[in-house]
Amino acid sequence: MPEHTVLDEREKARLTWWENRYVSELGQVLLCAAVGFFVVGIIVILDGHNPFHVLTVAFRGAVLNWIGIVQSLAVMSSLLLAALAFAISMRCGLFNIGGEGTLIIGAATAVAAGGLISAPPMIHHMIVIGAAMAGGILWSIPVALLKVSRNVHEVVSTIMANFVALYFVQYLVVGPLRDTQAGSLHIAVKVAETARFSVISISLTSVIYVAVLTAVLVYFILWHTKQGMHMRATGFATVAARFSGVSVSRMMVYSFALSGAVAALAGMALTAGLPPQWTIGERLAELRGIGFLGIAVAMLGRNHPIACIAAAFFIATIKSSKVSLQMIGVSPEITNLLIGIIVIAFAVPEIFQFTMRKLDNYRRTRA
Amino acid sequence: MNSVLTGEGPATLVVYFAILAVTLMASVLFEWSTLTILLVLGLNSMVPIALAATGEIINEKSGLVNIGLEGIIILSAFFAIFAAEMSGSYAFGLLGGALTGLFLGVFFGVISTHFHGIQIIAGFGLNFTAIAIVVLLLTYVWQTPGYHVLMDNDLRGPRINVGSSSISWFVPLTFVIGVAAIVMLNNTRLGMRLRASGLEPFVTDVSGCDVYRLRIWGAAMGGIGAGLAGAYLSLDFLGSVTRDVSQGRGFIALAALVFAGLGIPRAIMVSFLFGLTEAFGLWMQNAPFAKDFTQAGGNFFLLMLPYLSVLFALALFPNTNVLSRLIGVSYQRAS
Repeated sequence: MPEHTVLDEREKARLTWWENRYVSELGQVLLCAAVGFFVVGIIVILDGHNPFHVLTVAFRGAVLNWIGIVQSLAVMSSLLLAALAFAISMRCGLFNIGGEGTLIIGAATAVAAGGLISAPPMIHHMIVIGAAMAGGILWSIPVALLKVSRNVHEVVSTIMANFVALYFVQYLVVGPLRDTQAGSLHIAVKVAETARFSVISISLTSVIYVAVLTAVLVYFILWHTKQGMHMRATGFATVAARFSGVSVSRMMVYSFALSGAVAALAGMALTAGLPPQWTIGERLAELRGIGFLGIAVAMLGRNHPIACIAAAFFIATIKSSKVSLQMIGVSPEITNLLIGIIVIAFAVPEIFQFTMRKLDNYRRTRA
Repeated sequence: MNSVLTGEGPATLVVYFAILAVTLMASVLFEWSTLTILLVLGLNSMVPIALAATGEIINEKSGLVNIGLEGIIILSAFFAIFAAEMSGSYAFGLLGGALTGLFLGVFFGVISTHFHGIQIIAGFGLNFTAIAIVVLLLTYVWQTPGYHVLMDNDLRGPRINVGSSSISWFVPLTFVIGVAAIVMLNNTRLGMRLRASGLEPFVTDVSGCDVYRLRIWGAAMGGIGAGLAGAYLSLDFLGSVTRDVSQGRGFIALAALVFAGLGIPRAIMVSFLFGLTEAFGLWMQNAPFAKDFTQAGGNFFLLMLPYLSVLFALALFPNTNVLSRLIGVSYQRAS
């Protein structure tokens, strides 16, 4: 059943239990995850490991001990923000994969504001957050205008913008933002201590509150404000929205800007909120791939901000289980493979309905 | 709709863009030897984009949009180099790349037809998975973290000498493939049916052709195009494979064909121009007179050039917007 289908009472009564909207959403997520685990399990067997053993080791490493849980939460904060950025666009009907580039730009502006400006603690935090968001918005507006005025498909333009952002920030790191005291090491200036988010434990900082708060805020904006409602209407039925007086192109620009601001916050979380580096290196190693992972998170969270929190924690545990996987000789890259296969499974929109219908038919023919 | 799909795009834009690029180059250094080097380099850089774009045009004419080109290129680059080293023959390497592309294309086709998949998510998932698989296999096969260089020079493809530099034999092959694709699309029964299944899937179905099978054929050919592009990248152009082997060329190919309004000759021309900007960037990085510029961090701007040129091209010229009309529109046969 498509998500927004409106049914009257009689039709609702005829639905089976698995056609209930919430059941089928949850079933979709669980089934896609199951497909991912199944395929990766087979690969692990071919590699000569016991998949259940690998799973328990990963689980124990990422969730069942204090360090693991702290690391997972630390990874989660940036993932959640990146996922929110994608979910906002997706709710407006835009497959905006520019989160990756916008995140890099946000990280650079956060480092610039945190390292080059000096201010008292709380104000400095605000400046860093504001600078990152402004950078993100400024970076996404041109792409939005390309979409609106030139009808350029956002997949192509955002990917190109990602590469431009990557090289531009690499230039910034070796050029204007370079830390001259670091010697031959090519890293940007460190975020000043007044702008760093307070460390809770190891690499977990208070930036996680910012992430969760943003999720709630995004939910509020999209579901309980007029503009947010219009954005979702644009994504759900563009033509109907246009005919009921919504300026579709303006909503697209808004959603690009909002998503850019949130993606840039993810970049800030990876610089001003990630010890021990507090900055970016020339290769941008910590930043690359987070934006794309965020897309997988948003898909698992069915593009709902609150559900994204749970999904982000799930993907974060997968990501932070890399260390314990490496210890038993399993390649850590298997985690990315798992996420990729889950994404491919999500491409099949009615996989859950389809499976349940087949099961139902099978049961009926046997009876 | 009809004019959009057959590719009656603005023909002037390509000419304009060509003049722009040539004058740009000529103004930088008016010297014939440099110009030939640039043109040769441009032709070599054109090949992967043009091959992927040609395949994708067939794919899109049959009604599917595969944004997983990037992933197909990366994975087939790996399998091309793998097959070449295992068998010790260049031809088997090419075959390995093409077969990988074929397999992934069919996989994508089946997901987006029989399983009613959302094409854009399937393509994105393909990209994501392909990178993971390549990194996994690189460590598994060669125990190197993230890269493998082709040591044996015999496994590199044959080259055609032009003056002091040389072009790959893939350059003429690209044109041959382009002509073959045009002939296939316009003059064969399969090509006509492919286009019909993209234009009017319902009518095609009613007139007795299996739209799903036709679209899978289209996706398979698109996959082979991207697979050959990957094989060229790893065996000829770079001689190595990394997780970044493609560098967004799959997406540049997508931009090129949007830009060309799904016309194959125009797509190849646009690919050449994008290749030329890439070649210009590569050449400038090693040019002695630009040494100060590159050392001051300017090389990053040169690396940016192909992507910037795509963005500017899309911004400056009105495009026929082929992608967004077709994306995600899945056709479901009545059961």
